Amino acid sequence: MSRTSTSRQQINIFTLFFQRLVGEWKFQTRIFRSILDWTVIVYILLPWLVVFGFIYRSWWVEQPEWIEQIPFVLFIVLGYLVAWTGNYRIFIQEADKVFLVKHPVLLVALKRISYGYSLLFHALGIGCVTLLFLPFFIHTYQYTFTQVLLFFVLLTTLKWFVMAVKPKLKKIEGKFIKSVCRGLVFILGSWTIQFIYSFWIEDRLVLPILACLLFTALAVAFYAPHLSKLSNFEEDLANEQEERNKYMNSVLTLSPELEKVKVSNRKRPWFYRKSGRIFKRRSAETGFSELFIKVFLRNSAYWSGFLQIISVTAVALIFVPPLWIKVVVFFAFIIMLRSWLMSIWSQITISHPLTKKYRETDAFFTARKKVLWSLVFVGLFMVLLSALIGRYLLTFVML
Amino acid sequence: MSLLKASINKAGYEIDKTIIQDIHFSIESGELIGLIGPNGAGKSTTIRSILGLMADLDGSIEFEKDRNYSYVPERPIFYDELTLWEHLDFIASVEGLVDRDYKKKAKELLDVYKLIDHAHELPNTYSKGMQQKAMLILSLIVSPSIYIIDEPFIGLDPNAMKLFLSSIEEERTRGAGILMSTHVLDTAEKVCDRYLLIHQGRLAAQGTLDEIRHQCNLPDGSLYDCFHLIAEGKDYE
Repeated sequence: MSRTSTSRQQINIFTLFFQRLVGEWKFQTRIFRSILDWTVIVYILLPWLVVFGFIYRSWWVEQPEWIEQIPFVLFIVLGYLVAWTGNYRIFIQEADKVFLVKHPVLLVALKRISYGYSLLFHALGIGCVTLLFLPFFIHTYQYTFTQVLLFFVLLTTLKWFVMAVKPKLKKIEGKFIKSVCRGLVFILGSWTIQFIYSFWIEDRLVLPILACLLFTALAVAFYAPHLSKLSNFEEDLANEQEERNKYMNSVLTLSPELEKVKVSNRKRPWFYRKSGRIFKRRSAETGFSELFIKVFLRNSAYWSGFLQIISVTAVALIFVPPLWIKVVVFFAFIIMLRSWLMSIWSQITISHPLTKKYRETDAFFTARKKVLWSLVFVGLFMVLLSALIGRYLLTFVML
Repeated sequence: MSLLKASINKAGYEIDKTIIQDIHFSIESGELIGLIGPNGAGKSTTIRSILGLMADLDGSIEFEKDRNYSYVPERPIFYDELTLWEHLDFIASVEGLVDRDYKKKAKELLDVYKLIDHAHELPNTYSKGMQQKAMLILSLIVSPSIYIIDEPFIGLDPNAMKLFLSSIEEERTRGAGILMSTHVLDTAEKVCDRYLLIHQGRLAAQGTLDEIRHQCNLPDGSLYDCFHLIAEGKDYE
């Protein structure tokens, strides 16, 4: 009787896991489909994949010249950076704290199966990248099969280890201390990898093998106890949702028409902590201006977008050679910055229920005109100054 | 003339998708009207129609000339980046309030609602009850002629509720008209002058409690009894 119920529970948990997994893949596919419609897939992506297939095949026959300019250590550096991406998935959902939490055995089992899936998934990712560069590893750098296999296992186990360390780093209180610890671990890790690499490159494989075993053991020791705990459900859920939505957030960040508004947890603002006024003279016009300026400066999504537009234009002005293109870029910048600021103004004022009802007043339009043009001039000044400094430095470097 | 005259023939979030219809009422000076109805009856749509936020509205919403209103939403809404004092400062500047008078009144309200020590903090970090109180202060600061209040009692502790009711009473005495949507029927029965009972997007009954009782054929019934009868869809006429 007991065996029947256990096996039924196992079947249920696997069904649940596959349901969540399929749901996850559908969700992520929908995100990519939102930027790649079928015309892009048929006319750009598929032909590109076919062409790349031929190019990849040619790499096995004859290696391109450019690969000879690339030192192998670059692959190690890239591999190390890749190891710092991604997190373990446990496929829990918000509703689980009401329903599944009443069945701790099922919840823990779901987390464990998902953990196993994460290990395989990330190993597969590293495997694909290794396979991609395999022609170069074998033919150009002439490493043995064992060395390449160990390269794959080393990066995989390192990734598992880093993913187990990251939640621990995340728990550190205080933004500054957290950043310092993260930086330290990153640097220590890079030194360790360099050390292991020096053995690997000379085909002395005992230490790299031991390192793989150690990374795996530490990864399991750090993360496995976490899987059987239910007390950190909220924290797990927050991490899980962050990981689930990371591609969606990237798409939103890259979409110029969708401004991603960051929400701060600060109790008081950074500047004007005592709600001081920017404008001494009070009127409806200064009220709108002050509202916009404070919101704009206190929200990093707004001012970083502003700086992004400026920096991209400055780089274009520095590096694009023909003068007429510089002139076109300059005027396009003014138009683009003005329309971007206009959309931010609407987002801050018209789209907010508190301000919406004042949108038809004269003061609203006067303030908008003054503030937006002031910011356009600030942008212009910053672009010209950065372009001039950049151009001077570039000339200096080239001499 | 009434402070507000609402004649909603029909309204919906999309054209040809009517949510509410045939809702006609007015708000007089010093009057507190309870907007009552089960979930999904059309209370919020009625409020949104008054605020001019409906995509499809057939009818008219007439405010008395030069009368301003304050809207207190069910879910408090603030700027993430502004302190409570800065919210007050902004409203005071766009409403053209005299600087000294508004500051005095703002401090009094913050003091009464026990938010004076939190005035320079960002309201989105407040507790639910504090946010609700902050929202009420933002509406009270302009001394409007009309208040449109959506579910004010959610999140308020009994003390804050009492405070809110006394503020409302003061505003009525001043001559303000109030439209208050609520599910807290026992409180509504005690404080409201008139009621609008909405069911399935229509005005099922309206008037004083006695008039509602009469319309529901429940001479000794409470507001809850009348509400229950209407919500259950029984024939009350």
